[in-house]
Amino acid sequence: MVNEEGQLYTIEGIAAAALILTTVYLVLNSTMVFTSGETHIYDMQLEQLGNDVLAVMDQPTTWEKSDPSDLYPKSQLEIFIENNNQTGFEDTFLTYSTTITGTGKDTINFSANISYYNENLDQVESVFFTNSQDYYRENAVKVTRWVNIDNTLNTSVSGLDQRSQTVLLEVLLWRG
Amino acid sequence: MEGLNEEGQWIVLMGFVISIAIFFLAILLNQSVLVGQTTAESVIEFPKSDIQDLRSEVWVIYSRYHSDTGSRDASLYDINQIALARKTAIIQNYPDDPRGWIIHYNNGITNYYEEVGKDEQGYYYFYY
Repeated sequence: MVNEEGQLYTIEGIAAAALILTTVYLVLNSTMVFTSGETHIYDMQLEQLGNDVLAVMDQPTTWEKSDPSDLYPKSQLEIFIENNNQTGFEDTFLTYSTTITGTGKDTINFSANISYYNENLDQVESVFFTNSQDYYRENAVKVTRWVNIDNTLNTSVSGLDQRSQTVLLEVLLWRG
Repeated sequence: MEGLNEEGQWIVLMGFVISIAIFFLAILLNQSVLVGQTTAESVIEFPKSDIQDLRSEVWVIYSRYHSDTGSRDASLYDINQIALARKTAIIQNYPDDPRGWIIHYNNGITNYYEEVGKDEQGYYYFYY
């Protein structure tokens, strides 16, 4: 004869098994998020900071024209790129981006390159501008800024057309 | 059911309560991660800075090449070509349109269109 004792325990066991299985299924089968949500928030903040720094650098610090024929004064950023002043750009960029409230410095590094349009070859090319450290695939964000430069004297980064033009400054930013 | 031991039912009940609690916590944890991600991603995805940058650059080009439309058009064409290659965005400027200076930006997700009007002297208004 079958022993009919302990039936409630059996039902209990089945219910518990169902619960555990459902929980495990739900946890394992749900969307796997390999990077946590906060990472994107830090990326967003870094991107905002980078865009702000470039915007500040691209504002003329004076309204006086260096040459009477200039219609609009040049910004710091335009002058740096126009004269291929890599250390000037690096110093200013790092000063603006790593300054924190209180003493000390934030640890932010960057790598910048310039994209330009080559009229003769009818193609867009990119050239390295400057960096504060080599980039080894750290978690980075990219910020960009249009920069209008006067390269009629060919003083800028080598490779650019010898004319007035707009180039795209692309900066990779990362912490660490 | 006569032989069933009815002691320890509280312990069994607590077991149920705790397992259900863990179940709901797992769901909650799951959802919260996704919410944080989508919020930050949608902020990154919206090209706010791109459009602000484009507008300020168009202003610079307009002011600087006021009397040199050759350089002005060359600079605007640079933006068009570089944006296609490096930003996968279509950026077009029509400076001499009868309606004013037209800025058109489209990166596939966000479409931005602006007509900058002229004042009585024929100068463009660029509002900030």
